[in-house]
Amino acid sequence: MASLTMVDLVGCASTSSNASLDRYLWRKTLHSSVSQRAHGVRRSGKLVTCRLDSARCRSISTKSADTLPNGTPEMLLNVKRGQISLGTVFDVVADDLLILNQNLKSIVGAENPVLMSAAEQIFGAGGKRMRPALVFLVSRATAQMSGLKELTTNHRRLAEIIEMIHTASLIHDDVLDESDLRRGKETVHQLYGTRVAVLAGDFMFAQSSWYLANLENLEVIKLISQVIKDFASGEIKQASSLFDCDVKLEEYLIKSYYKTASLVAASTKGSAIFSGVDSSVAESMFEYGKNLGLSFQVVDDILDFTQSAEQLGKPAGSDLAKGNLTAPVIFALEKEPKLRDIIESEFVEEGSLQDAIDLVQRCGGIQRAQELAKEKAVAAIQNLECLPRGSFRSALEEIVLYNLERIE
Amino acid sequence: MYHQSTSLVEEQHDPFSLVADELSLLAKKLREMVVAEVPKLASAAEYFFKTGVEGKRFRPTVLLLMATALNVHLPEPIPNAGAPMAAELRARQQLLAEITEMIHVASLLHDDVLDDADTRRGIDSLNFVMGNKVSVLAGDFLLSRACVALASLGNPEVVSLVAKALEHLVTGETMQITTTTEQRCSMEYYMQKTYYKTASLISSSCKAVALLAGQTGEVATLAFEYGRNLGMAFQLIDDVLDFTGTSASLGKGSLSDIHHGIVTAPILFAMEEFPQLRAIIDQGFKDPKNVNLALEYLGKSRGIQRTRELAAQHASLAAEAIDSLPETIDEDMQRSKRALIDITQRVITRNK
Repeated sequence: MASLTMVDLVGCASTSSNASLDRYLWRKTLHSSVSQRAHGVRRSGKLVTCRLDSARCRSISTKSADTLPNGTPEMLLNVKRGQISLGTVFDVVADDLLILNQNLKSIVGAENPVLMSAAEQIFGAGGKRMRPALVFLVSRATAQMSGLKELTTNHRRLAEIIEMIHTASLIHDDVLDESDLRRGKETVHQLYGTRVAVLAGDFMFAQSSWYLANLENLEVIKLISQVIKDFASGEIKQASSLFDCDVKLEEYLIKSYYKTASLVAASTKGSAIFSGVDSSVAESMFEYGKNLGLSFQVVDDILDFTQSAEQLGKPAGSDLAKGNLTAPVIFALEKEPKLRDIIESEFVEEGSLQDAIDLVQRCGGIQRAQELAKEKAVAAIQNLECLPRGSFRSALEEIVLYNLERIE
Repeated sequence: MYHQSTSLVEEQHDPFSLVADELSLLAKKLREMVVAEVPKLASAAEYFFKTGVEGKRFRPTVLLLMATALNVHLPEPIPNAGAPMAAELRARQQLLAEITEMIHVASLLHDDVLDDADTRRGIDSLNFVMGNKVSVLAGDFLLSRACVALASLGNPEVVSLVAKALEHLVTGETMQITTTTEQRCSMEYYMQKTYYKTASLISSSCKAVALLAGQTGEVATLAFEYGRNLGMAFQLIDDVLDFTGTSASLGKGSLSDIHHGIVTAPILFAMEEFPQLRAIIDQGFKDPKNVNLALEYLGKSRGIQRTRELAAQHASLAAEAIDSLPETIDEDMQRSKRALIDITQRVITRNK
């Protein structure tokens, strides 16, 4: 019964201005969390096939909607949700992701066994495939607008390219950060040495450049090339401002854009371009990707403080330890001058890192960073308003919310 | 063999001098780009784009000469439209030369990290001076800039060509790192690896220059063949010089290949005459006794000579490609063609 109602809800071109808000309120009232949806296994598949069909629309109790002054995205954030599982959110593009995995393996596998096993290390290390999923979701959502029946080869290639670039950056990042662990497994360069890590990264990068070139769409080529430039810029920006307590929030956001959001924004915009939608829609998708990416990075930075090593898959507080000052720290520095001294000492003293972490938590650095993450999340959801309501748009919204749930 | 205009004073033109001004502009531009965008990498920029260290800017020279040699002249009726279009074309070809140089330098930076090299061109390598991380970062930085510049050219075929060359660079390096004993002793494998590591970039860029000039089919292929053969000749001589250095005799070279366990053409040829070399190669060259033994065999064999002969063959093929270009009465074009041929000779007669 519950899932049937959900199906209707999702398919409903609701009379209220915020179908997504309705849905979340329903969840709350029906106590049917998304994890229950996951429980229904292939039931969630039904959500995929549910079409926007106003004839099936039922005017669900809009009582709750009426009592809320504005059905704004902000309200979304204040509603208590159940545990969002990314696996479920990505259900609507599960097949696309399967095909992607196969293609990636054959692209990488076509070459050298040493490189292949190095790439396996990364590809097999519990990655969420978030970026390709975003490509597929935005592709499908925008395809609906332009009347495309199926995803094109370009769409799929774009997703593969994005994942390869992302992987290349991770591999080099680990060399640059001298990280030994990623997602709980040893890094490529820890296992195989710097040589192979650099080479594997270069290889992924070269492969993606080649596929990118073959897309033969200059706008997308330029878009993605810019990302590659941004990666390097971000890395450099970070490397040159370690332990620099004068770093401003603005600079942090720029660095975060370069390192994280740029790729996401290019993926979502590229998807829209290949769907052939209006440039204004493509721009909105860019903004969505950018805001999501920034929100994501801020949350990552918060978790580095709040999670344990086990949960992180790498040592806690490692950003701070390396002198990489992120949002929580930047906010805390505004309140607590003592923190500056500790940081500038570069943690030579035993226990000083823990002191710094405690200080950050005590003077509300975490909280303000959470606000920042929410701010970007709200913006991201607003960017989705040009998309048709449906399972894909909902999934895109849920990704934003999933991200925030990580810090609740 | 080549008839210079009798009104000109007979002079041995240094092919590099024909494009010297453009070259120094290029170096300056690259240096400034790095310094402006990434002050931290300023010393890296100095390092690689400083005059004197840059190895004569071989690739950009070839590319700029090729650009002149392939000049397409616009029909008379539009005399004024000609100049700005020609200038724009030149700018794009210069950009391509910059891109090629950025990719080349990036690959050197990464190579040095991969090889744990202490010196490059006789001075401390960047990674030795500043650590692996900066080298990786500097390489990534240059590569990313090259990528963006490439995209800005707005020519998908050119983008494809250069992207492929980039992939070849990596593949070539991989081939070098992960050879089996069987592959190490194969001339075919060696030639393939050499194409990937050295010739691919220059041949693709030469072809790209032609494509940018609107040349297609045969001319573009000739440009490609020139680059390919020139690159192969260059590497083969490099391999010889690693053994002979500046003297004609063996053992005065840096011998870095053999010490890294890299088996090159001279040794491969020698092995054809002395199969016993195979066992030594398989044992590896950690033991200096093996190095000396290999050098002995090499000295007794025609390995060095045969490598030089092969290089000369490639140089000749490169010259032929230029000869096969359409005839022209334009003096600049003629001069550039001669310079390109001159380079094929210099590549095989050089001592360093």
